[in-house]
Amino acid sequence: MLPQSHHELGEHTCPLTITIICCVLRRPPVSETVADPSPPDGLDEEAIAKAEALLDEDANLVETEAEKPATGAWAVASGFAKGIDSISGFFGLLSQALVFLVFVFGIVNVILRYVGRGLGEQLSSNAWIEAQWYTFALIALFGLAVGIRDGVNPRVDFWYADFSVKKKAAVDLVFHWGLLAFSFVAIRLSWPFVERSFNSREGSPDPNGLARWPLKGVLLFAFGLFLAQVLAEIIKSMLTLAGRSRHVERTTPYRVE
Amino acid sequence: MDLGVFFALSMFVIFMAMILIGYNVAFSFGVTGLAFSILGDLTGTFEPARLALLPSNWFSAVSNQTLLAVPFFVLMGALLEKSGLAERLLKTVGMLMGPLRGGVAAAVIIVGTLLAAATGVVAATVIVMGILSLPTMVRLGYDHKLATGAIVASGTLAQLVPPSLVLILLAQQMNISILGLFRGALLPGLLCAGLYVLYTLVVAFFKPERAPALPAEDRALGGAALFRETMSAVVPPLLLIGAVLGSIFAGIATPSESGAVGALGAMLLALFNRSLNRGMLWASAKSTANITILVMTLLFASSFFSVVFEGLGGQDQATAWLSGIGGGKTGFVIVAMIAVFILGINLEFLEITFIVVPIFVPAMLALGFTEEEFIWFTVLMAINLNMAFISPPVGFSLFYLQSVAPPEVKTVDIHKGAIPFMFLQGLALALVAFIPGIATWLV
Repeated sequence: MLPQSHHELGEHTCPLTITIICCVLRRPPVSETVADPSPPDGLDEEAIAKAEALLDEDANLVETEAEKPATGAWAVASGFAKGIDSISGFFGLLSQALVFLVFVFGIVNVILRYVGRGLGEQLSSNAWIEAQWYTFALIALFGLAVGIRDGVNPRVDFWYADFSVKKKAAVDLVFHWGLLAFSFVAIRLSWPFVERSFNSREGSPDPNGLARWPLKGVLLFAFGLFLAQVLAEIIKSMLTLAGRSRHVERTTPYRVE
Repeated sequence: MDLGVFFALSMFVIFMAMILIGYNVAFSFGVTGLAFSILGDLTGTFEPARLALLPSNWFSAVSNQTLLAVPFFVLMGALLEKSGLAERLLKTVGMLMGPLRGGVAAAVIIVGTLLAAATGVVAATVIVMGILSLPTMVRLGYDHKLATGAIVASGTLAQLVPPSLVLILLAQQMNISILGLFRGALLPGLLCAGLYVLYTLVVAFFKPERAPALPAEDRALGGAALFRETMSAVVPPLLLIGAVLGSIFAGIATPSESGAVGALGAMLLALFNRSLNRGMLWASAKSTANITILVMTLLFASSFFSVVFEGLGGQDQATAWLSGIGGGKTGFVIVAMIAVFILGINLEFLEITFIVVPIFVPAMLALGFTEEEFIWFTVLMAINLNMAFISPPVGFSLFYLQSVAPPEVKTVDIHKGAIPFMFLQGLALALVAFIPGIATWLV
């Protein structure tokens, strides 16, 4: 599982002779150490840098140059795909930024609940509690499209890891048509659900809660953006198969745990 | 066999084929689900009106209080992973335990357990410990198999010791309380860690040449200095772990509340370690958003799959088979554990959680599992999945360690090294299976 190949991951080039304990040896005399409370000071910086590079999902990219330029219809299609990519990318960044907001709401809710309990007053309200999970929902929904663009979703790479770039693109191309139909059906199914909510200007079932209908609207929007992104992915796999695009592949496995 | 059931089974087979070819797991759920809903509609074996319920299922997935804990705990783990915590812990605990025979390996296991409770990130724990402590153990003349086994096994504990993503997702799919599962998983997690340490020390006692002590000249700090270093490196993370687990166990906080406080604590700890900066915060937010997206995409697509699978009659058939195994609950647990273990050889926890658990739950309800037994069974599954993480040749922790191991450590040694630890996990599994109290005592 967890996509991308781990076979190529980190060819071990430089032997790491320096380690936790032997770095202790290189530490300054004890008196200085005591005076200096600073953290991983004595640690081998090379080792730390290597760990960071390995843990960085955006490092270790392998690029394949285009065989032929994308001209004519290819250029139009590629431009469309790039456009969708950047729209999804924008909402992906938004989704990342909202992580801080959900964190702030989480802390506010804790403070309101426990300070309120201490004072014997009800400080918390449904608005704050709902704001927290609304933000959580937005993280997921805004990010739905960028998830497919960036290959966030896991694959079983038992054999896949050894496939060539074109073979990988072919696998995606075949099945993405089904996914396109799936996202269409998801929109089709959600439409009446969202429409009902919009028509009644659906509010929260709880007192002081937030309106529900805008969030349900975002659900529909998310599926729409997802559909557009699937289309962009189909175009990109076609471009790759035709050898008409530069291809960048991440070789670090995407980590879930 | 009924045509619908036949379709439901074929749906399963095609889904497995698709994911083995390497198509995205989540999207494979969606595509097979859609294809078979059409096929079922055409042959009159599936009522498409059933799909109308899906949007409200999707909406309740994003408003789900259980899953709300995901971003908080992931953020906490991501922040701690990038805070330099692991390096300091390893260094200090290594010095504390070093004089003991097998002490460095034991220190690795203890730090792995602490990091498991603090970060819950397997890859980071294995990679950092592999880079920092494996070369030391190699230099000291440790048996390579013992050294690598200790690293992969203890690094993998991150997914068993609460709080962890695996447990949150299992709780959500099993429809049990996260807090209950966290409480249930703590002692089994510690049991595993204890078995690992014990094994290491036993090996060191009988085969001293495989696990030598740290020579005196490698212990630069002593006495007061070591004490100071211990206080500043070990105590803050212990306080953080204590606060998060304490609030969970005292039952005073909801999971998302403990997670939020934990993430705040992680930020303070990073600040204290002088590693808090914009880049690190942004990277942590990115991994948090990515995991939230991944979980939600899987949930959207797998709920479509489940509705179709159920509508075709596959679920009833599976429940009938599973509850009719014979031997009642015991028979079911044995078969389920074997199935999870076999699937675990090729698949990882996410697929297993989303594929297998929805099929198990109705059978468990039919067999009359109580809430406590649900927790016990889920803990057994979590231990079983732990084995999947280190089972050669495709266990994920093994890949992580291979990528950072010094060249003199052979891949085959990493694979062989994992095997005794898999036996220990099997032992822990058996102990929890025969003494359910280990899992349910704290619940």
